Amino acid sequence: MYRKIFISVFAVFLALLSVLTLALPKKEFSDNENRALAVFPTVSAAAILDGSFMEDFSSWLADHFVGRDFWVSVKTVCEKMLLKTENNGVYSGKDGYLLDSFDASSLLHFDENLKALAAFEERLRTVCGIEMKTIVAPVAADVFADKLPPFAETVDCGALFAQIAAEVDGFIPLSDLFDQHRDEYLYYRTDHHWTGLGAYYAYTAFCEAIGQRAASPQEAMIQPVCDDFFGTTYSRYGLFDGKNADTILAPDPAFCGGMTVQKDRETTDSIYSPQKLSEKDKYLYFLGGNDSKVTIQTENHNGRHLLLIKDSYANSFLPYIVRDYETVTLLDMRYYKGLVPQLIEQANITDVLFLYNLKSFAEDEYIPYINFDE
Amino acid sequence: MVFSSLEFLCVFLPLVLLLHTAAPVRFRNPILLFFSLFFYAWGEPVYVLLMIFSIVMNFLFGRSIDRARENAGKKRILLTWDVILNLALLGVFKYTDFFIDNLNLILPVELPSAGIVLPIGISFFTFQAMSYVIDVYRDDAPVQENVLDFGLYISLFPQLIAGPIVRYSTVALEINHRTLSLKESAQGIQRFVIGLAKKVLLANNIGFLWSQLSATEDLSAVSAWLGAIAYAFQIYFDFSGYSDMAIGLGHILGFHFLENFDYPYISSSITEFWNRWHISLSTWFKEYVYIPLGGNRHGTAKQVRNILIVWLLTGFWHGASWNFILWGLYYGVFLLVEKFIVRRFQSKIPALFRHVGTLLIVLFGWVLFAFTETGDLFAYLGSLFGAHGFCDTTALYDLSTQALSLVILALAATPLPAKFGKTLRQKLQSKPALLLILELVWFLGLFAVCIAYLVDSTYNPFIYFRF
Repeated sequence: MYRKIFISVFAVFLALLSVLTLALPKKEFSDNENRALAVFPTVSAAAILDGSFMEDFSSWLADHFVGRDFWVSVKTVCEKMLLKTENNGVYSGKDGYLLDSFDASSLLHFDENLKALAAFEERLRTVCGIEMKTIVAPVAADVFADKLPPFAETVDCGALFAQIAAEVDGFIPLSDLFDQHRDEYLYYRTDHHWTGLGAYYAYTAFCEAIGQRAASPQEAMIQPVCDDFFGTTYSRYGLFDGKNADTILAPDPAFCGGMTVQKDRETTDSIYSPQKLSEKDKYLYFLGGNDSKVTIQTENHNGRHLLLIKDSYANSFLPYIVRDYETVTLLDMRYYKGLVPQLIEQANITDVLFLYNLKSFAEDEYIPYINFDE
Repeated sequence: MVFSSLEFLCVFLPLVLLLHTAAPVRFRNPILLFFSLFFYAWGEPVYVLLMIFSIVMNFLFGRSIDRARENAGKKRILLTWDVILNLALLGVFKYTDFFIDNLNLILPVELPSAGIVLPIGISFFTFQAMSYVIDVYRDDAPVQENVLDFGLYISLFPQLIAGPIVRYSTVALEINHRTLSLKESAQGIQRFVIGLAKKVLLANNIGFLWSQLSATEDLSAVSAWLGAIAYAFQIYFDFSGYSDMAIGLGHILGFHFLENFDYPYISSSITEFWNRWHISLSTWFKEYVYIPLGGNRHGTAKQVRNILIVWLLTGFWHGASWNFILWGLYYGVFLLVEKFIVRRFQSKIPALFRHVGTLLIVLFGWVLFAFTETGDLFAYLGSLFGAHGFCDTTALYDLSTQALSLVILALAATPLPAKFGKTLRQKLQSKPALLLILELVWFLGLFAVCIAYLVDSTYNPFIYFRF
């Protein structure tokens, strides 16, 4: 009798898992993973013989497994109970911070990117007469090193910044400035980006470097636009406990001024995409995503045309500087397939800013494309 | 297909158990054979033909040998051919590139590599097939007259890809006469869940640490030792977990396979270790190589030769690479030393020293086992002896985050948890309802956590935006 119950409970549990997984409606996109989920593979003799059908079936089953996010959080809880402080490359740190790890395995392309950037800067200076500025944003795991779990190692970021400063003219160091403000809300707790405040401090350093007065936070009218943001490190850590939601801060649209924003597939009149605030990845509030090329025409007619070569850190930096230029052209080298030197000529570029965060600068494999001219 | 996958646990297994239990007895074997072939074909859609070939070939040889029982000479020739053909299959599909690579070292011309991919489980099913034909030859097992039933013995999915190597005589009766019982099914489920947890929760997680450390250069000594210990745990829990799952599934389906692991890491001598580690393989080599070679019956010199041959082959069976051969001979030498030298004063060594010494020998054995490239091996040995410092932050981080896991792994490698379970069951004999609740919470809980880890292993957040 008791054996019967034991076996039946197992049988029912197994049956529920398989029936629900196979029968429930399927989602096409996973918000937490920020990717399209697998579709059911087509059956063909070739796909079965080379085993690809079986592999695709496995992915499909796993992607649509009943209660997928629940199971992921069960695993994260178990890892926590085993006193592990890291999950999927994210540390669970102090003060509710989920910090993106940055170890030596991320330094894949640092040397070649640095070389490419130095060559690009020299070429701009000597050939085009443009003094490029470079901002490489510190990463949270370094600035907030005191929030990391014990013995968790981060790459020696100071050494990397020193290398960049030595080889690239116009480099604007942020480490000391961020260190002074380390008690402030510089980075999101649940996302790998800097906050509107972190971006603001970077803006002040940028203004100082180009000899321009920076607007005060009051002038920029920095304000919260949402307070229920759970970003990428939250998704990767996989606990989904709904705690430590982040607040997105941004300058008021009135500070940025009127503009026309020409993206890859649409044209709008603002940097901001408020409709993204109702989706999972609310950081897309800035520019709505990463287009290969964005051209912004402002109402300022001072004849200054900025080229901003950037990763997603620049998206929340842009609102502070956009009003200082007649046009701003943003290039994402991961997706932009045109030639940068030609573009500089065609768009009458007068100023160039290179803005990446240190981790993507070390990992990105597309940065050397900035030098390609044929 | 592997047991530790969602498609096995949530699609294949429920289906096969449902059909096997519900079907009339005469349909059970065809159902199991069909699903076993499907199970193999899922991972090896082409090589399944190779397995079917091996089934038919060994079936025919077994029957011919049985028909020739009055003719000793003919029997012998048939057996010789069967062994040659089986070894040829294994040689071609497992060892071709090893031989080509080594020939290239001595030949003036460069032979192209054949690029043959190893069929999953070929080492296991070839050895099972040979054991059958040899047993029929020796009259140790009855001949199987039905090719489908013989095919079931070779391809039976619980033990197909990672053992244990089941001798035909063990299951000969159960192939045609087996009974299913609630008691055995319940035990089988529990055994399966334990095996799954060993594989998914223990082996995979500590294996992740090993794969990180073994890929890192210039490890500190503490990290290197941690890595070696992690690998030792990974390989034990992986392998014995598969055996547990096989034995458990066997119980549910009405088969009784022999135990394959018996807490090897509590051994206090190398001889004892090999009596507890991969028992079905040691038994195979003892039965079909060591004893036929004469065993210990023709003087010490022959015995030493036989032991070294057995361990050379045992090593080579584990993989087509020199380090496995070395690993086998390494054990051969330690076993000889124990047999002929240490045995005389073994009782005078304190138990703790014997145990630690055995574990150290096993640990270095695993380092030898892990690296197919000599350069990597020596680099790792260097790290173990402090070539890159004693300790660093990485080591401290790994130690602090793995400490609890290591304690759990060490406990799980001893008979203590099983003893605890047994005592608890006896204590609660008078309270079956409470026992049922505890068992459900524990086994269903473990199973659910395994599912969580399996689902999570496919969780792959994409940091960049969709494009």
